[in-house]
Amino acid sequence: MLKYLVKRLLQAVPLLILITMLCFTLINLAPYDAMDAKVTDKMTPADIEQMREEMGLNDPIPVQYLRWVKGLLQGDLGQSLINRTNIATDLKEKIPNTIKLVLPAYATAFLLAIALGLIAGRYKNTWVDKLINSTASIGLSVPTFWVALLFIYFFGLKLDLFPVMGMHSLGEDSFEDFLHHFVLPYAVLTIGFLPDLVRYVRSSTVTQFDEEYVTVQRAFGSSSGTILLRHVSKNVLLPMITKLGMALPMLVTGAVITETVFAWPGIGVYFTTAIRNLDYPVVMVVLVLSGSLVILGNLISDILCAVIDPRIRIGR
Amino acid sequence: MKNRRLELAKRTFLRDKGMWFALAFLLFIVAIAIGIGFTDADPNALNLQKMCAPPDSENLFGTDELGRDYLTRVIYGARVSLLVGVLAMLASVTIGVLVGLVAGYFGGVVDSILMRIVDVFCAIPWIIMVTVVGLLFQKGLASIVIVIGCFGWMEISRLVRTETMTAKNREFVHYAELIGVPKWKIILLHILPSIFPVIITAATGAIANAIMVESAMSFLGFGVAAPQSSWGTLLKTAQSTLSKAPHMAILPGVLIICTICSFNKLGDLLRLFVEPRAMQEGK
Repeated sequence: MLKYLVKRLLQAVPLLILITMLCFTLINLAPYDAMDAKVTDKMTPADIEQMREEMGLNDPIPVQYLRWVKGLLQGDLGQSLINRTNIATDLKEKIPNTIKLVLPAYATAFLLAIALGLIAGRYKNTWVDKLINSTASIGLSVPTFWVALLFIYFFGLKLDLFPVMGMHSLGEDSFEDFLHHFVLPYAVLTIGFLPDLVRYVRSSTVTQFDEEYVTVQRAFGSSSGTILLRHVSKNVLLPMITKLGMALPMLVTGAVITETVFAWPGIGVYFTTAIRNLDYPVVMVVLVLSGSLVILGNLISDILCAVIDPRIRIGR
Repeated sequence: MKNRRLELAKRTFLRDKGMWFALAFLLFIVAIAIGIGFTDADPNALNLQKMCAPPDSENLFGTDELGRDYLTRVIYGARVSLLVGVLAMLASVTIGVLVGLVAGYFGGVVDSILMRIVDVFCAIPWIIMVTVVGLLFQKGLASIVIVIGCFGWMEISRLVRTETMTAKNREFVHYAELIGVPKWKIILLHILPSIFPVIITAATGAIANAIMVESAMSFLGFGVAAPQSSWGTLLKTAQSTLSKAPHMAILPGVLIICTICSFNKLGDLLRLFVEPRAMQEGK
């Protein structure tokens, strides 16, 4: 087990290095650089040149890259060009906001999907299944922001039930106020996560029902409810753990669109604002962060699977 | 073998009403998107007396915030959305097939390097990647196509790689190698045709995906810029006028859903043709 763990960890490291390289190259390919955001009309070309020199922008790219990575490793994520704020401090404030939104939504979608998927798979080709499956198929084609627009119109503007902007009303800090703001984006996000998960659970349930152990259980006279809950569900849930690991990066970048529509002060809005303002240090940090989370998520789900299912350990 | 697959696909097609709807809808939307160019409907004709008007007999789907006929604008939007979808699909299929073929055929070090590159590209969520790369280009149709094309090819290349690895062990390929056919010729003339069905299936999925990504990007304001507008751009405008003109949010959204749904449905049909067994068991 330890050997497998170390091997997977070692595989992840070069990937991480490649990702930082890719991010850095991408940003350096951009037609502007960190200077362009600082230049004002009063500066002479000589001033600008001097500042470039001071900021190290004239150094060769590999030198700049190494300096940047060194900073990252020491926890120094740099400063935002626009607000002059420390990026690490910003992230500490924004990431929890995003998690508050994404975690409950994903958890709800996950549980609902398991229930709906098992039901659909169990009653394959009946009207229940057709209803669930076709709704999920259509759901896959529905853009989240469109659902958000409809919700804002009906529940926010027409019925005036919920606020449609932000996380708190101005000056309010109570939990009730938060919940009030939370309902709409949460619902939209849950709907966004659901279809893919439902289809996944359904198709693995259908596959499991064709397995021989189900036939054996039937021959022993188990009721189909027992088969579903005792045997099939266990085998369906195992691969779902992989999904869970892969969902880790969503905690940070899973709600970019929903956050933007509802002006939720999370990482998504932070990122899109940075893109609009050409705030490179911020963009780079978010890039690296999301990339590392994907790798970490894959790593975790592999390890979890290996812990639960010994066949994987031996197989490698 | 081939005929039985064709029969199966044909039977499913004839039985499934959803397929009929999907095909009919796609033909219809493409036809009006092309056809509107031959009418004198102008998507930019202003009518400041009639801004944000709800649907009536003159403007079937109302007017937008500058009094332009909304239906005309949505149909012109279809042109942009579909064009981006098709072109981006072509770009990502080209890259994906190329990488997949080379990695799968040559194997070894080439394969490892290419697949690590694929891993890296996969590691960054598309929405982050696409917006960042969008920074590098001037806003416009061409750059959207490049950006989406450059980030939708990874899945395709993995698929093509697996298929190529199977195909290169087939006897006709071995024979061609034996009699000294050059490698590029083997890849193009022998392997590529044998994996063609898989590519077509991946392509329908890629179109649906590209349309979805484009609409999201345009909605966030990183996509097609004015005066051109895609369905995503229209929805972005609709958001700002939501309280005055809710009718503007409906049509583009419904069209996005129907289009993507139809492409997915066609993809299902093609998949049935490519791997009939998997579909019968899985569904």
